[in-house]
Amino acid sequence: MLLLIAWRNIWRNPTRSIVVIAAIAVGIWAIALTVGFINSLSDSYIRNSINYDYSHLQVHHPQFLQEPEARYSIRNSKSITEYLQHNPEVKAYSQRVLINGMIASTRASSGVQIYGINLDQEKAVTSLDSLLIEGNYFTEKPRNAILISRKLADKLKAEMRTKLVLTFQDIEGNVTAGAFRVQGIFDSPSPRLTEGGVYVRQQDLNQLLGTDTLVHEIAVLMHANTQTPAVAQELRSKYPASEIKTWEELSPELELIQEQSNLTMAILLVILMVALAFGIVNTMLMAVLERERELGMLMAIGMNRQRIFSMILMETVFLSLVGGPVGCLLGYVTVTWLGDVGIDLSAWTKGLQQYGYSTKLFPFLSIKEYILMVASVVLTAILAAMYPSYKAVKLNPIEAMRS
Amino acid sequence: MPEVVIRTSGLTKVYQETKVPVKALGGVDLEIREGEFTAVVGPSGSGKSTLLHIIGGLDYPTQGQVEVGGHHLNELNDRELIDFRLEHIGFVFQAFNLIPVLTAKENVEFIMLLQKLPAKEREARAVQLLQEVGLGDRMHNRPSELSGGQQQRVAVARALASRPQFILADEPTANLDSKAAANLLNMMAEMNQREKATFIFSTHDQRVIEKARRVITLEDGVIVSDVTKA
Repeated sequence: MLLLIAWRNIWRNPTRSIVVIAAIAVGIWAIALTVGFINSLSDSYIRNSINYDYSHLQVHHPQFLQEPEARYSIRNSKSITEYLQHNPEVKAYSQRVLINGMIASTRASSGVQIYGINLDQEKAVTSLDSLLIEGNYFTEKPRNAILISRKLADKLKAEMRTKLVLTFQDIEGNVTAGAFRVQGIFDSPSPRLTEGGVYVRQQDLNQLLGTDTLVHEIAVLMHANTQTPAVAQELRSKYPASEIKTWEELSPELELIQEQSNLTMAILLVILMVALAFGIVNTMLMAVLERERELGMLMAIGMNRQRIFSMILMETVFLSLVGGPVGCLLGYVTVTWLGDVGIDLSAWTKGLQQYGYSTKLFPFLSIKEYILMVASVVLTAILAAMYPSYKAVKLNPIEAMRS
Repeated sequence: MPEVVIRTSGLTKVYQETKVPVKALGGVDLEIREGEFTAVVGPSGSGKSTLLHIIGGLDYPTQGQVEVGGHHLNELNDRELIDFRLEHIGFVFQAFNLIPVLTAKENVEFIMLLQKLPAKEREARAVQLLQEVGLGDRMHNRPSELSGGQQQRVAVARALASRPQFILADEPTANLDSKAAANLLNMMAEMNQREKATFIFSTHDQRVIEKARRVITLEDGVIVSDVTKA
């Protein structure tokens, strides 16, 4: 019956209760939208990094990531690629020769990472061909063609067919150089590649390096991200002489993005909950003050302070239990709809791409986040109800009935 | 002769709410026997309500002793007083007696719920009492749908529901018209006989005083007359 009284009590002043419920619902809805949006931002960054840069996992010589020198080639690369070819979880892989060097036009120069690629493998893993905004994917010029990013082209003041010179150390440490002609200009969602990645044919690079057996990196794209840890583990146990790293290990900034997203959600939740707490305290204090006589009478007839406390607490929890799910439902409907149609941010394309984000975002929320929001509201309501409940139990029955 | 169930000696109450202390009771010695139907009368400020509050365990005396049903109320703490009230006292107040969000029947049941009585027993007793106070057909109405007299009847039924030893009614007819007041008093007298509870009510309504079998008159916090009708 205490539950019944508490439930009916919140409807004694329906306008006030509806305002509180609406405040809770709108607050949760707003948080759901914001968190959904932040999730889509970080997800787009991570997806772009996986699809256009790191892939799901990479294989290197154990020394290569610390000292990216030509001599640190992957041992057993043939065996590894054979394994990858026969693993049904693997969608595609790309073997790369990676060299750090300088690129120079007649007007400027810059430090770059040179990717010597197998054309078909790279296309399957990073969709490099689809990123070209000018030129073509090594189809015109049979030898010494190079693909550079729009940003690098601007920096070098290079255009299509401009001759560029690549200078780097060969396998024996001798400085070597080769002239390449721009055959394509790409615009990658990966800031790392946009800043300093250039692509040439593997055989052209090998010729300059003086060997055709080097493989510095094998990038592996999975059918689903969930399979990444298992495949990485299997590779590690099969090929202990190679270093296997997942995208999370390769790119600490991706983890940072995820952490930032979680932190943003936590901060937003705290701000909303504090605002909500003040609203609840105000409402419940009013409810207690308005019912002083009745509370006094209840104490007089033998309702103990614990029950009075519970009753006020229950009223508050009921308010949040109505507002919370309504807010979640509104949030779910809006986030699901936006997740289907997407949010078009093409007006800010330049800025977003510079930081590796997509221009169309698809907000989403996990079940865990919905549960967290409702739990936060209920917990806030309970904490906020403490003071009004305390005020209620501190009433003196006679004074309260006289008031 | 029935035994004495309420005994006060030298009961004094001084309110210190302002700079000037106000003496509400000035040494009341009183004995009330089981089953009495007693009116405490007197003008406003004579100490009627204070006396009832102290006997009912709602307030502590400044001085003096109060023993109700074998309990020395001075010695009970706040929590024990709440339990004492729940088990031994039924209250009827001048107004704001009922929980507005509950029906008449739920109001009567509520006190038994606090006593943790089984649902079936609660319902049967609530229905029986509401029928006895003449509200068998209004038990599903909320207080706002009942007249002042009907609300007081529900309050009496609620006060009796917990089978208390004592019913304390503080100006129960103050907000009622003469007919409703007379009906309520007749009903209370009848319940006094039927339920064997000791009734003490404060009033300054002459029509109510006539119904009482014992009339204690207070003036300025002291008993000036104590008359038991033959």
